[in-house]
Amino acid sequence: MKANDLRAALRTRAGMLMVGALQWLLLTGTLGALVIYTDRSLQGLIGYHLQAGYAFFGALVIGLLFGATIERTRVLSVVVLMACAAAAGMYAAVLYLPVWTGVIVSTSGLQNFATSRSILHFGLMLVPTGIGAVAGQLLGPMIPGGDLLQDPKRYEAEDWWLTRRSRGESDASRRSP
Amino acid sequence: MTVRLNPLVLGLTLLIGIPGLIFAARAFATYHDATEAFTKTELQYVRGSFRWEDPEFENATAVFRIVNGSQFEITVESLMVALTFDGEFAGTDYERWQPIRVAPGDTRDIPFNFTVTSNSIQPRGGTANLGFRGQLRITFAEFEEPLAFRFSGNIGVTPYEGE
Repeated sequence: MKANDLRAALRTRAGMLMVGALQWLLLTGTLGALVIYTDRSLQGLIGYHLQAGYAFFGALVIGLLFGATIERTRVLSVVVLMACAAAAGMYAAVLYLPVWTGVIVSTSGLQNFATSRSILHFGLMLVPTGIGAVAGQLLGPMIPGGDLLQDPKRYEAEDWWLTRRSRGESDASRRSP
Repeated sequence: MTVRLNPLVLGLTLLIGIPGLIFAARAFATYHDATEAFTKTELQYVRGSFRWEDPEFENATAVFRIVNGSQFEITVESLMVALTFDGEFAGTDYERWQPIRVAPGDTRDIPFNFTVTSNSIQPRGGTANLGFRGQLRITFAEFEEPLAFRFSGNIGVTPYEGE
């Protein structure tokens, strides 16, 4: 009964928005962290430094998770674009934090550097995240575990991967006589 | 329906999302601390500390001060100061530098013993406009990146004042 209540709450617009916002926040934060820890200009100042490959792989996984969660391509595109922009913005925010707290003054050199590097990171992150999102959208219905928003009985069949391959497909078959 | 809530995907989101946010917050804090430490560490020439030790202008002393206004202990790995007469290299302290540690919020006065080795300009020691230039390298235990910079300054005309 409680599971049904939770499912009903998640199926509301507010519920879906909340889950989506939480996921976006967590994954965008991670994407931002990857950008910050792989950027060479911050090497030696923030403890760790990651090779660019980790950021690429991480962005791919993050895109995959976005794609597996969001079904509408248009919404997914906006979410991925916003995530990459926010991650690049996080990098600029790291550079600007000492300016905001009055530790250093902002110079045109810093502004140019932060802007150009942020644009670069936005572009670099967009490629793997986008690829991951496309893959996630394709593979999403095949990931075991089902959909919390759907009736669990639908996923108890052994051939769940056939019946659940595409919701659009199942909806269409339901409509057909 | 717009979203598909797969428990595996949600679990993985939490698994990588929470550490990701923590690491991002750490990066913000560490970078801020690093810039603060860099800006609050200073090298100062103690005004009026320069004096000639002999009337031949061969040896002189001056005091430089390291101010550690940061919250971290610093190690002055190297400090090289060259004495100049009207912008021309005259000499330096030729003793080997021993690294020194300065505690947070502490200051350390470092006496320099200059030896003038440019014999052709040595007689101008009392009348030339004296200055210094050099380079400093400081390391923080918390950051890999050292604070290294070049500096220069003016001492002014300083005649020999006697014993």
